[in-house]
Amino acid sequence: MHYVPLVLIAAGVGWGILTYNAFVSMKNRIRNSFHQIDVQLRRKIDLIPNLVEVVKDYMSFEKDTLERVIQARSMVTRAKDPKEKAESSALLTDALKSLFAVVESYPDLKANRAVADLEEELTSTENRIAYSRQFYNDCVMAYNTKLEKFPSNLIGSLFNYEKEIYFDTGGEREQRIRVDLVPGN
Amino acid sequence: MTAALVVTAVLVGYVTGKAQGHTIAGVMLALSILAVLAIVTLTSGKEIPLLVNSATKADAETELLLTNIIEELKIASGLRSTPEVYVIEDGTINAFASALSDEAAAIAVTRGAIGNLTREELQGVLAHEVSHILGRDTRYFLFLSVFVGSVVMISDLFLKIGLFSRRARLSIGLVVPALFLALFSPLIVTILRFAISRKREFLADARAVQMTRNPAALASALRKTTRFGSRIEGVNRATRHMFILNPSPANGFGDRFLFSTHPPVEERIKRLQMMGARFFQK
Repeated sequence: MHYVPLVLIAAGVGWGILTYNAFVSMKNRIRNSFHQIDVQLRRKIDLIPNLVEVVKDYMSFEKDTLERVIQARSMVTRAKDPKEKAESSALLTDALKSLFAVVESYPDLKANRAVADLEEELTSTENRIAYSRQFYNDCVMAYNTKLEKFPSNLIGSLFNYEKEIYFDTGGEREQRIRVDLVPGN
Repeated sequence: MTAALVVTAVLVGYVTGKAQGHTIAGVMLALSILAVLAIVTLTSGKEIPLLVNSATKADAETELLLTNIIEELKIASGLRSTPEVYVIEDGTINAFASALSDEAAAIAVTRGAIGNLTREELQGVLAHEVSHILGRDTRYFLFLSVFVGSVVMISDLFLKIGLFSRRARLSIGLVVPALFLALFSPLIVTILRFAISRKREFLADARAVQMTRNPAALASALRKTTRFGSRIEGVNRATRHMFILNPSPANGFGDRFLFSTHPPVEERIKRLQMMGARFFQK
């Protein structure tokens, strides 16, 4: 019966490899979903010039509203860290809301297909940003849970995996992306 | 699921094979029949349901809302590629998903759903369908169909060999189980299939809420369907369980509790409201 310990060792090593690989793919998914948040934010920024172009002729006496949108947009483009981005993005959302509230009172604009399409695009982008944050946080939760649970925590600590931080738009903690995917580097 | 299939095939092969005195041969034959059936369903599954329900591919330009919502849900669900979107030109409210993997997935929705639902309601309905893709439900049901088919085929085959073979040393104890399998397995598996289908609908509702965090919108979409109807003419019975709502409701006996592919709409709405009350109220 001397093959029994061998089988046990092989099973243990096999499990270790599977768990390690699970950590690798989870971490990659977290990185990818974090990137996705930025992609969608970019999409939002890119839509604004079109919107300004379409509405500016109609809105000569609503300069303030339009100005707020343009200012908020440039704040987003200048934002450095994720927290700043999230805050300025929220400002931009508010500015856009008041812009579309004004659009309501211009029958010509309201009937304009391009404006309606842009409004739909912005609504969709708003959702995409929210969902990409949500998905990122779900990924972080799954990863952190695996990292804490026994026995996968053994593999996690062996290869120096660390807990990831949730995306929190209003939180105190600073967001950071860690790219040290290869453990020990 | 796959394990259950293999175990059943081995069992049927074993019992009926033993009756012939060729246990190994019985098991091998059962497994190879199963393998052939599985390959056939896996390679031909995606297009069939779409053809049956005569759906046309949605144009990204004209169906901006539809393609946008699907893109949002792709992000929310973490699907690797965007499902293809089809429109069924029908005034009722319904939708279905067909997928063998994340990469080969399609969702079809009726014109009535696009026209009569609000953006959030439509999003809820489509999230339900994305959940079916995420849960591999189409593959699940394709396998279930194979399951029914193979059990019937195998037990039928062995029974025939057993009854007409001169070499067979049959004892009552072996004929009875084989006979039982041949006669009742289709019925049992069908009832099982409906039960699983109803569970999967609840699960897809719950997953949809996990994506959109908006149980109220899905509930109100379901409520609207009771007003606009969900019946679609010419739907194949075999594809009914893939719709968000039963496309051929009120068929007398066929729609009663045990033989229904979908749980009652009121029950689904009730559960969604419970989710709303529990998780989304402050």
